[in-house]
Amino acid sequence: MIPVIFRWEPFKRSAFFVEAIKSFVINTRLPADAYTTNSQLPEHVALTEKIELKDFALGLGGAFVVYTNKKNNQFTVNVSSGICDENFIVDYTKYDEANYEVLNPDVAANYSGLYAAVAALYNFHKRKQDMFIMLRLQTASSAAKHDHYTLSYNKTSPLQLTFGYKLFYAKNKKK
Amino acid sequence: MKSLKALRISLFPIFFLTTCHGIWNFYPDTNDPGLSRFTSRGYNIASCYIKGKAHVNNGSFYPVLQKDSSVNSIDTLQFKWPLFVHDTANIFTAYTDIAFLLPVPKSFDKTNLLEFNGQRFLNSVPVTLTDTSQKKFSGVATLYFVTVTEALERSNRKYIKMSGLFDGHIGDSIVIAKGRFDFEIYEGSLNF
Repeated sequence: MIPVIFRWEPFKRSAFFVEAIKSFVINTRLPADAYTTNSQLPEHVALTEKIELKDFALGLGGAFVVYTNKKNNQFTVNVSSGICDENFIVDYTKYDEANYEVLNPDVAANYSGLYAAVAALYNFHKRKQDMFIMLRLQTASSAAKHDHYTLSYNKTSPLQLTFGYKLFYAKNKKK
Repeated sequence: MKSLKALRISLFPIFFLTTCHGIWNFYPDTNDPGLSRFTSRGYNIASCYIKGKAHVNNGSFYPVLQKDSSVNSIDTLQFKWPLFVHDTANIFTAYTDIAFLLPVPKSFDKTNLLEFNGQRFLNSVPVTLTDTSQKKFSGVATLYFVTVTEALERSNRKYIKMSGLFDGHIGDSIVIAKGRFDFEIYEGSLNF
């Protein structure tokens, strides 16, 4: 899972920020089995199950400065919360659905709910460009499971370590 | 009086959940409307189409798995569970139970049952259906024990988990199709 975070700090002197997170997930492939009572067919076929996750999160947060050194490097704790959506899509390799039954099949599920996140961020101050390193933990979606059926996958609760650059922009002043 | 009302309101969901326990393990199969998914987790659920109508067990009744003795050298392993039609509009045309009657040697025991794991009995298992007027219909079925395993579950009690597929026909008029079962049977309840 490769999360891409877009974070906007609209006010220079405020710790308030808006974040949007989208993950690029490598599809999970699992073995699966299907069986038949049809005497004309092999009693068992091995299948491959593909689980695809599409997710998106949008939230608001604040940063609290814990430590600043002489070079203006800063250690901050960031807390955020918002809405998130996780959509799991399940697909099996092509098989004879009329004659075979997949054992313990996974099914698609959607979890739309709230999330909370906490991040520890160390900012390396440079004159024109800031670099940062961030350790971020996000809770799983607050959405409850629809039933007690056991699935091969679960809601995600991403823990991420990010190294990045801060991009500054300046508003053009009217003459 | 107010607290009594609150108590009544709070007790209602508990009662509701208790009575609904039986249908908790019905997880609909999107490929086969009215049937539960084919599972092997001891969900205590079985479903099939009989004459095109979806029938299920309701989960509150465990299946009967017993060896019936006979005077000759072959006994019968009876594997039976009650049925309920999934569509209540057709309740009077429904069948009330299904029974598979497997011929087994007199020495048949729990070890032999576990050896059913992965065995498919093709068009050779006698099957009976009982309708709402208690009339019995006999035919032939295919019964495929996909998994039969021993499991140590709650309170260290041993259970046999059985899951599989079945289909069959009684004459040309009654067709049993797309059957699947997933049971967890307490070993202490077996008579062999």
